[in-house]
Amino acid sequence: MLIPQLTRGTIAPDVLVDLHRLPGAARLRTSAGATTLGAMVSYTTLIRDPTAPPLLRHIAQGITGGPQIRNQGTIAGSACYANPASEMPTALVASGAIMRIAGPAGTRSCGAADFFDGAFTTRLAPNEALVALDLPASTNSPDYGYCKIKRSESSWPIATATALTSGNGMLNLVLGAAVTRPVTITVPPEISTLTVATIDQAVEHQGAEWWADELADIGYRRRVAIVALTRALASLQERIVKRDRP
Amino acid sequence: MADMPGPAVGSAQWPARRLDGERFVRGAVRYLDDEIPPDCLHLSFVRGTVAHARIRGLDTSLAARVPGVRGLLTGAEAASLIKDLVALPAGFRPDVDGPVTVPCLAVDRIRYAGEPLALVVADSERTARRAAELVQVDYEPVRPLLEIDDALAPESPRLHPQLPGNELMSGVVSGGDAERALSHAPHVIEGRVDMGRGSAVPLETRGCVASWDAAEGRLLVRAAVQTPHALRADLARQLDLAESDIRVLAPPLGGGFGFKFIGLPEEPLVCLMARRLGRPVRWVECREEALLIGAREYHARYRAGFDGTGRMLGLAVDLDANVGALAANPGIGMPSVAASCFPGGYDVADYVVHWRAVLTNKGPWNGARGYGKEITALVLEAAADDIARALGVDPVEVRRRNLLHSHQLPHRTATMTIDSGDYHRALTKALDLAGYTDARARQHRRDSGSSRIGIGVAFELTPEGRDPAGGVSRGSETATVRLDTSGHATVLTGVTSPGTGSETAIAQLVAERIGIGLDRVRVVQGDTDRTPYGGGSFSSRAVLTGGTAAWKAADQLRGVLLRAAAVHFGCTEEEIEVADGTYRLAKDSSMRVSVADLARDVRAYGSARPGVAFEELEATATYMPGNLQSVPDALGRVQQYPTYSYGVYVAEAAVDLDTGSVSMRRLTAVHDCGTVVNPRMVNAQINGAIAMGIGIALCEEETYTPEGLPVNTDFKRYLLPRLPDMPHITLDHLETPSPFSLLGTKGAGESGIGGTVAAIVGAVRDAIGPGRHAIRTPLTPPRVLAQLDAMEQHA
Repeated sequence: MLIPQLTRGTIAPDVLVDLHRLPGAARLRTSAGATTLGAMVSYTTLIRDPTAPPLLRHIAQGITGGPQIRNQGTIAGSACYANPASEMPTALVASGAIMRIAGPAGTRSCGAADFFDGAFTTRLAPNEALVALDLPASTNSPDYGYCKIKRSESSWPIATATALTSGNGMLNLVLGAAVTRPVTITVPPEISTLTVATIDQAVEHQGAEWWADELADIGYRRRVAIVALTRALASLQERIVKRDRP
Repeated sequence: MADMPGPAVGSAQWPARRLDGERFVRGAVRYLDDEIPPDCLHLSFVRGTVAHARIRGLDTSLAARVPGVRGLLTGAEAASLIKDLVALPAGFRPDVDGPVTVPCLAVDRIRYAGEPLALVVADSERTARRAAELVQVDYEPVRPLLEIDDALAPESPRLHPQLPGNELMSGVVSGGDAERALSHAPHVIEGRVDMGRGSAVPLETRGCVASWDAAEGRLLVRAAVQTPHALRADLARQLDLAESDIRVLAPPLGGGFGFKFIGLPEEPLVCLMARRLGRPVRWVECREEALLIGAREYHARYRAGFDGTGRMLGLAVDLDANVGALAANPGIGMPSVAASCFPGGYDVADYVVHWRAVLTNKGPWNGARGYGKEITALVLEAAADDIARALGVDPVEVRRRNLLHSHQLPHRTATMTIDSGDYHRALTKALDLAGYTDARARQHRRDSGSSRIGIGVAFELTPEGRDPAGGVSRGSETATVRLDTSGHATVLTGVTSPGTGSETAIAQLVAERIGIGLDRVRVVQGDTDRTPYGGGSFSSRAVLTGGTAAWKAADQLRGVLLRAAAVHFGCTEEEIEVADGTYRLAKDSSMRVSVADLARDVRAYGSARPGVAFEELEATATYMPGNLQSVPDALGRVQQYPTYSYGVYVAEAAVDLDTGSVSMRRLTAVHDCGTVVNPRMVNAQINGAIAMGIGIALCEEETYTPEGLPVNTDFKRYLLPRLPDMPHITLDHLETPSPFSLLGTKGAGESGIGGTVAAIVGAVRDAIGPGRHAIRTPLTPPRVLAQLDAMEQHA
């Protein structure tokens, strides 16, 4: 987003810092199953690395805009912009990512769920920078479900849902794009139907709100949010079944 | 009539690649934006930020103080320096004295959000933009009128001081007695179609670079326009110059599509400032400015009478167009064209179309590919589908019952004389190609699941080659072809290059006629100093008129060469054949002479040697297709389109029942544009038109806030189809030459838009299921979901 804003002149920063030269910024490292993404890891880097977490690779492949966007766009950048419609914030919350933040006082960590505060709002202070993302080993699970609902290829997402198994045998569904910040709904693995009431409750409980923009109003988003979650869940359940089959 | 070119002009021998394709692909082509004269200044417009207001005052003092600002102009100042744009000529409306005009810069009222009301010229684009933002405007907002009902309400304010109300123009197109036919018909269906506002969106936006040559006393203008001669004429009038003191260059366009017709204020103002400041001035439009312009927004209600066999007995249509703020370009002519194209390819004698173009405070229109014919196709096909549904028959049956048969053509209606075609054969061919019977069978067998397949079939009639008598750009074209002693030919043509590759087809026609290789032909276009007076590019005329004019000129040169060759061999012209770049004896091909040598012969020995006349190696020819009638006949009919392309479009779409998303699976088209000069180019045109049709049907829309501010200001909000949105496309062609054009060509630039829109709408309605639902494009997922909900409630 930064580049288009600079091109159009909608923002005119006094200082622009290029993070490319930060050591390891563009690298993806795995160690003991955990993955660390540097601040400058692009979608293309994710796509090309077979050891990258499967959910993130899957989402990276579907980013709108083709190679030009995928080569330049970064996961950390998407996180900092915190556009409710973006896919990465939701994926990071679902993955249980820890954000590593550097500032004048040193480095601190923040869980992804806490990092995203609302539409276009994060817990990043003005004098801080997101330097890396730490993903726990569980994100390497091949069992995931993902569903993205858009208006057409050009459109940004209207509703996204990720589904992952959580540590304790439950399933974590995370709703994005239809809400101001990613909303997590934990369900038992054998669940068959989700209700709108469950989602409404989770939205309210987690301090989020339903989100509307030029492409879809709240009414439509509430309708398709449940579709996205149901489909992501079904997709995850299918993968689990396939894996367990002899 | 000169001998018709044989198979050599058709598809088999000339599937030539684009002449200059490599230059385009390698980025070697210079577009308007590539031209930045060394000492040029940059112009930025101050645009109104409200939709409807009185302008109480303007304060440019802050802007003037920005370092690097070289010029400023307000509407009040411009009024005495440049003449207004003419939207309607004097006499067009009997209730208005004189022409209906629009000022270049708004003076005391803003008519749409984004209307230019001042301008800044500065050393850099950035400075000009920043300074423009500092111009302060004192508005007195007035309630904006955004919808037709509002604009036509008696208490609503007049949007144009010269017009008594907000209906810009209206008319009736009719044949027979529709009301009688409808009242006598055994069955009548009625329906409603709304086509959302949208525009042609070329990759390249508009732009203009102008400079005043004081030594020559001439204005040099380079502008991304489709009609350079028309621009020259307008500039001459507005700036009080002789046309010959103006040179307009139209570089290759990154797409025209009607979006680059002239008549908007920016180009004349750039020229004015170049002259005033004595330095080149440059303006290139940004995307947000480009998306201010519309090119369609229609509301139609229709009634169709029919019998138990599906025969359409009568048709009545009310067609309203929301044309936004008044503009002086050809775009405002589209609603009239839309009405004139009823009843399309259907054999309906009793029909009436009441049409109106209504002004509102939305952005102005410019032209767009389809030119109104897309709404005509959509309404006709919706009515045909309704009839099929009412009778419980396949939609194809209604087409079979009603499409004109080839023996009925030429066929005269109130506004058209449809030249030729075989609609039924095209229909059969398209259905075969689409595997229609199998597709229907699969459709019914398929389990519902969460998605449903729908299939739509649509016929589209596409009149082309328009001759708008009374305007500056007419339906004729002139070309000069020059042969040199290298054996190369140069074609000077008044048609321009919107990016379709039409110059390749023109070069083909000339190369083939003279008998030289395609690589020996250069086409010069887009220069009012060098080419003959021309109409530019519109209504798919580049090959139809431009190509034919060039062919005629080339034919004259062929005659010169034949005569010279006959003298050379001491034989008669009939004994000579033209092949492989040579003129040779048919009975002994070793006796041959190259075109270059013949040209040299004529130059060097003309009139000096017996039999060799001093002939010109340059020929100019003008061509106007037949089948045109601008003077109304005894029945008051005129006829502005000489040729009629057509096509059948079959769409297969999957509707997601839970989200309303429509995904295109297949699109099959059979198209007929008469004689095909270059099949690659024609295929490319149809593919592009299909993409545009998908955009109109499914995702493109310019919407406004209740205050009248545009919402879709960039491509994340104005959604264009992208490659993943495209279905698998299968194309095939018929070639039914037009009896009214010299080479049998008809024009292929607009075919496919209306047919695609109608076929997709038909497919979605098919998927949603039986029931009366109003059609509103684009069929966005929320709209389709609402329709599905309504169906469920009904059931």
